[in-house]
Amino acid sequence: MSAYGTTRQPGGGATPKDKTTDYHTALFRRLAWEGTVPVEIRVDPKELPANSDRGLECYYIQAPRVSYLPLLLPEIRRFLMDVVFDEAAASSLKEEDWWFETEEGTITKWHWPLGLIYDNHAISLTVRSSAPPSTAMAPPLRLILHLASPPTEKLMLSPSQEACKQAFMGQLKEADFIRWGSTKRVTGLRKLEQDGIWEGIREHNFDDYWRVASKVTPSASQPVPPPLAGASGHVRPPSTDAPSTFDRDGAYSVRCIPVRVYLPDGPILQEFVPPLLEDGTPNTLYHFLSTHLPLLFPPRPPAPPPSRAKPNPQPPAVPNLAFVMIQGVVSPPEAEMAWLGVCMAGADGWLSICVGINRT
Amino acid sequence: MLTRSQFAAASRALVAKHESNPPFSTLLRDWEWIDAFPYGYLARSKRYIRNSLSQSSADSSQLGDDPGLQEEEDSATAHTTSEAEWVISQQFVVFSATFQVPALYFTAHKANGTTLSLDEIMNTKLFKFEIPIGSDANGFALTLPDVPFPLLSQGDHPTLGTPCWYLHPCETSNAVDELFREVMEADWDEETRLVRWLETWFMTVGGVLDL
Repeated sequence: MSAYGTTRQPGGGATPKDKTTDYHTALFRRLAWEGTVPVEIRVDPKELPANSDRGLECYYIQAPRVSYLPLLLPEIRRFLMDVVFDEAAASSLKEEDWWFETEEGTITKWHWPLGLIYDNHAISLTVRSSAPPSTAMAPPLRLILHLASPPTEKLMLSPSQEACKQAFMGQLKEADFIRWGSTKRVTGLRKLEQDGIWEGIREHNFDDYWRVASKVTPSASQPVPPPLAGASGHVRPPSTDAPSTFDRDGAYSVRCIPVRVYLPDGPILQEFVPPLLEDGTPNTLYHFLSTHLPLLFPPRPPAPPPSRAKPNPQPPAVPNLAFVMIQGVVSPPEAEMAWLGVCMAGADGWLSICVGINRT
Repeated sequence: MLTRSQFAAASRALVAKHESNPPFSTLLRDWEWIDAFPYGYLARSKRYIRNSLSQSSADSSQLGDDPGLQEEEDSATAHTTSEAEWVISQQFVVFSATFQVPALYFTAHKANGTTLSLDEIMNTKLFKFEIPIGSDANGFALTLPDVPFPLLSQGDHPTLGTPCWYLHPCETSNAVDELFREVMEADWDEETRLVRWLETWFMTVGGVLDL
């Protein structure tokens, strides 16, 4: 397991619990990094130049979730030139006029990571009556590639890798600002390191990426639990196997977690997400969502007090109207926002929460 | 820094104030508050003229002595400046959830609907800023030297999701707060304070873009 998957811990020796935390952090970060989505790219048949080899104009790729469409263009171009287009067509290819849309007519954005494009498409299907029942296998994202007339009303950013890199760095700095109130962790990186983090994405190299990202991403150390009041009213000291040093750079020390919530075909929500609630307990996924989307995630009433008939009462069930998808995985409601923010975030530092509607 | 609800309150109050006081200030009168889900914003439409045309007529009059060439240039520029080209700009003041301050977003199109490039935008009367040496205008962003964020770059409108140019809000907050401290009066109520803060914001942004 690469050492770079975890954030360097300040201070002295790691306790066994720290090592376990490090292992899990690295594991989840690695899984998020290695996640891929199946994409099928088909040139719009009406735009295929004359003399193209029809029947072969479909390109399949298992693309990294953390990558971007502009980074795929070179290999798509190579394929089209080698297999589909004849020489005349190939010489007139103008990549800057290329653009993609989904089968449903949604124009795909150059500056969204592929994992987000995929998940956002998946949740949009949950509100369409024509959606097929879900199967165990992830269906490919079918994209139509257009070769001309990009719709500049809906898609301004150019497909160049430079524009994509700049958008990526902008997101990284915004995430930094949200966490700490300043961008100095990212802007404090040397130019070589800033370029290196993008190169890690371009080359899809986990170690290269995390070598730099570990300097700006919070560690996943556990929060110091709030002191517990015993029955006698005395305050007990925090548990002795929690880390004794307060981790200033830890996930639970940030002032806010960079999160965006994506609704099916809908707007994007960005709200203040503290790592800890006012009572000192960690902010959970369900608590966050029931605060801002109470109709989809009704607040859960507490369990009734125990009685002789029911010594271990459970809280009453609430209807499961919606589900949460993060990095393509349906996430449990008790997941802690701070942990999600450092282990399941995208490469640009943002935690993308996609909300889908349960169809039953 | 504002909260989102303070921004909404300030915007509504500003629209109301400038609507009902015609002689007050015409500059802020045509802003409208759009109460959209999930986040409301201010919007208006404005027209600008493109600089480059008037400039090219000045340049060509200094061309060489060839009378034939000059005449041709003159008649050509006379033709273009007489049908001044308008740029239509949709402008929005949105609340930046990241920086907790207002941010100016805008689009710019020619009358025939084509979007303007960054260079073309910088060449209209919308853009008042003197571009310092060492700045980088690369087609999709304008970055000043030694500043972490580009001054002007592309982003999606937070509510509409459509692509816009936006003025980076990062530094405006400090500039506005400083100016505001000069003008603020202790006896203002909350609403007056918010409206005046937003007016100061417009003034600050007005130094970069013609509002």
